[in-house]
Amino acid sequence: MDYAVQTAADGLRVTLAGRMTLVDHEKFRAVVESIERMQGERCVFDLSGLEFVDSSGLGMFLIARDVALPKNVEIELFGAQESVRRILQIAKFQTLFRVTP
Amino acid sequence: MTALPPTPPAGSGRPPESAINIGGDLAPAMLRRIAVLHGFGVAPPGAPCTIMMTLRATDRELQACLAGGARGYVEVESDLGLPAPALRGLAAPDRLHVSVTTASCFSMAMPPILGGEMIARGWLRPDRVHDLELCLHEAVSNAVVHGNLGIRNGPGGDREAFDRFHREIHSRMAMRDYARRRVSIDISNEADQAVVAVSDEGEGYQAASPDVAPDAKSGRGLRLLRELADAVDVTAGGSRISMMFKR
Repeated sequence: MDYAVQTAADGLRVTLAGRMTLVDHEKFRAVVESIERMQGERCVFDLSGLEFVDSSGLGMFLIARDVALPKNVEIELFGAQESVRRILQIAKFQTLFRVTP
Repeated sequence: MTALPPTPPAGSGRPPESAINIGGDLAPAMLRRIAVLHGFGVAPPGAPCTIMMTLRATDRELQACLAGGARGYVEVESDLGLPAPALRGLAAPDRLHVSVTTASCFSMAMPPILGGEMIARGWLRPDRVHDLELCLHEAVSNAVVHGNLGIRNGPGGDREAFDRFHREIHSRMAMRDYARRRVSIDISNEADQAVVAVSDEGEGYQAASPDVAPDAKSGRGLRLLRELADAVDVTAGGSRISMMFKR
């Protein structure tokens, strides 16, 4: 998985690309630390370049949510490709995150 | 450790004629010994083979050997311990077998390669490739983490628990007894479906409940499998997961 973290006007923008799996724990840890330090009320994950996510990747989004919630930061999962969007739906992530096309 | 059989004496002749030829980057003497032990032939260097034997499995080599028509790809350590029945089954043209160590498996991305190969061989509908890829990925991850590395539970809980879980994976992966255990993938093309089975050499584990809360940090892998495959069968005390994909 490749990732980039950028400060946005209302918070943070995290761009993920490639395959997000069990082996990406260390990289995602850096993302979570950015959320911990961020200012603002919104963290947008741009998933348009993400080709694949597994159950461990889903767990990582939930860790990010755990860190964001006490800061009153809303996490948005934006632009997922069809195959990734389907996994988010099966996991019922629309009940936990703002999921946008 | 299994002792190697003695090398056939010089002049004892070629390995017996077989429907299965093996090849690969092993020392020629070792290839010959494996061939004799299992009743296989040895492919001439550089020629296509039924089963590619390798000392260190890689995605690139797996892809190349399957594209060249091989039906098996097997990582071989200095000792044997090869999955003989699965290899002999490769005499049939509608089967694939991949067997690699846990350490290699963890660093490889086999599901997209095997999914592409199944489509190329007409075993899988192209519109099912994402289903196959995720199911195979989850089954292989289970085989590695809960099977061969013997880590019973998923990360669960909070961020610290997540970190501990991943540290445990890397810690056990560094131990040879865990790292050398095999993960095997058997794919068979049947009349109206493909069957993909993933086996490990762990002690088995209790499959997670199919009902997982949306905010649970783990336990979702098998649920994804059951959603995406047409049927799922967990056998051998949890050490083998078979998944069916209809055409």
